[in-house]
Amino acid sequence: MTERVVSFGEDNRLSGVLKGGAGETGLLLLNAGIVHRIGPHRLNVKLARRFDGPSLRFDLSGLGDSARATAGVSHEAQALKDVAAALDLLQDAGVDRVVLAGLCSGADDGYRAALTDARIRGLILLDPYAYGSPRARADRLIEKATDPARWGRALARLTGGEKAEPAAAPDAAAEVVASMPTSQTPEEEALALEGNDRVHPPRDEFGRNLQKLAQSGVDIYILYTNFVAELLTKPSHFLDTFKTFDFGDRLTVDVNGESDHTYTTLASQEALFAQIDTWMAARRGVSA
Amino acid sequence: MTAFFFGDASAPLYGYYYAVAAQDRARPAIVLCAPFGEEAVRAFKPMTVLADRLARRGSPVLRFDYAGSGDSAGACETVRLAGMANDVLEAHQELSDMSLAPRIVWIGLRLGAAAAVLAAEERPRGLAGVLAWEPVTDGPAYLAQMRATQKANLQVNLLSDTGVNEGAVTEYLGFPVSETLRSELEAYSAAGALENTSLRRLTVAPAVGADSAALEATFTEAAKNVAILPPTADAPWNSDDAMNAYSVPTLMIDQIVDAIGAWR
Repeated sequence: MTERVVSFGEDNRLSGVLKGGAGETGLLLLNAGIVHRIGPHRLNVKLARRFDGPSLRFDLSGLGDSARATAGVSHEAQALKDVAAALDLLQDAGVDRVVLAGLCSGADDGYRAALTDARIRGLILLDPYAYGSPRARADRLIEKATDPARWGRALARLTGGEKAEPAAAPDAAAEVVASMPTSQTPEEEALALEGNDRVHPPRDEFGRNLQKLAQSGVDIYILYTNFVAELLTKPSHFLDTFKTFDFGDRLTVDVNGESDHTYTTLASQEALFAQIDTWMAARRGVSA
Repeated sequence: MTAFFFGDASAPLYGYYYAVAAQDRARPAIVLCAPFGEEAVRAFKPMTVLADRLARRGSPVLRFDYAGSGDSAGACETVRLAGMANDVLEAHQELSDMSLAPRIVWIGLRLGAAAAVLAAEERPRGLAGVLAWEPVTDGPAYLAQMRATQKANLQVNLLSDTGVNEGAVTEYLGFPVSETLRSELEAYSAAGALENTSLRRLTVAPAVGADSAALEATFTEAAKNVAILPPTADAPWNSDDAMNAYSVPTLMIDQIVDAIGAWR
């Protein structure tokens, strides 16, 4: 494995790590939120090093070790410029086809970039935009109604207990839980996501654009976690929501309901890596 | 600013060097020693702000990733406390070569402070002292804190802490804790490690709400020329929410920069 630090883009202000490798397909990894380029729990480094081919992980302008942009453009517009500069760098390194991977805002940035740059031939979108549906809501209600742990927590609350099953936890963990902000459950996070700063495109626009990408030959792998459990919990929920669109065989959707948004447990990380390996191996055009 | 790899070419360390336009030779150059695991991810912004402010005052700064962390070579499973300490020494030499500064101070945050104290046992040339920021002073207590935080994180984010092993901490907020690292932590105490150093100067920057008297007792008995900075009222940087908001403890950072400025 050979990695080197690279500076590129306008005024060389973007900072990244370029890994060599065989093949003409490269992997481009984007920031997740404001976490620097190694990714939450170093996920981007692990993904880059598991990938046989060349890869680039870098910081968007103003994040990590990249300097701020001087022009007063929006994050979204600047991210598109930065991704284009990263694609130029990869192209100069002999990479003509790129799989772009991103989590949360990284998925959003990757989705938008793919719509504007044909060099992106594959997308791995971790917790991208999510949309609810009547069927998903009904399934979720049934899941909640039949979840014994949920009934236990409700009972604990009614009897004056604390909110997250602290009875089973030692005091130290209960103290840490108690010190955490109260808006941290997956349900609340999903609601906050819906109504907060992550502006979702209209559902049909998202579906239409995914269809456009699929029909132009872009392979798309969408993986959701329990972060969006209030909106969808099964791949069929997603496919039902977008049933009027034709993705051919270019779109794969998985839901990792046992994982949190950033794949905190090592087991969930390993499962994610195996899923991506399988998808990479199966998809024509993106495998190295 | 320069980003680069340094050290053993087969397993390089990632470094970020903050050069200064007009180096104040009276001010020490600084090696920043990051915490372990997810705490290092959360500390990224605070450490960059600290590095930037120190450099503006005339101190060249080297920020780096330990082997098995950040952009450095190596898998997360390979992180060891002894390895972290070796990497501090490697960074010290690199900074010495780059800056030609006669005096170097190490600023270690959380487990980075423990790595710095352990590395100080080697008494490298030019080491002027250590600033221990929210230091891990007791390895077993740190392990207990890891376990509690891991369980709490799973309870909140997955509504279940199934899989958290009561007997041994095997992972901590997304990062593996190897058996070797656990053993090292079980054996670590700052007071014990300091007995093997001859640090000329040690300053401790406490966490919000820390017991300054306990810190003073720990460190003043074990080292000479110890100073404890007063606690600040900063927002905590070491939490899920803080990571998502890039919470930076600017009051403490300013205190640290001032304290380093007084090390003339």
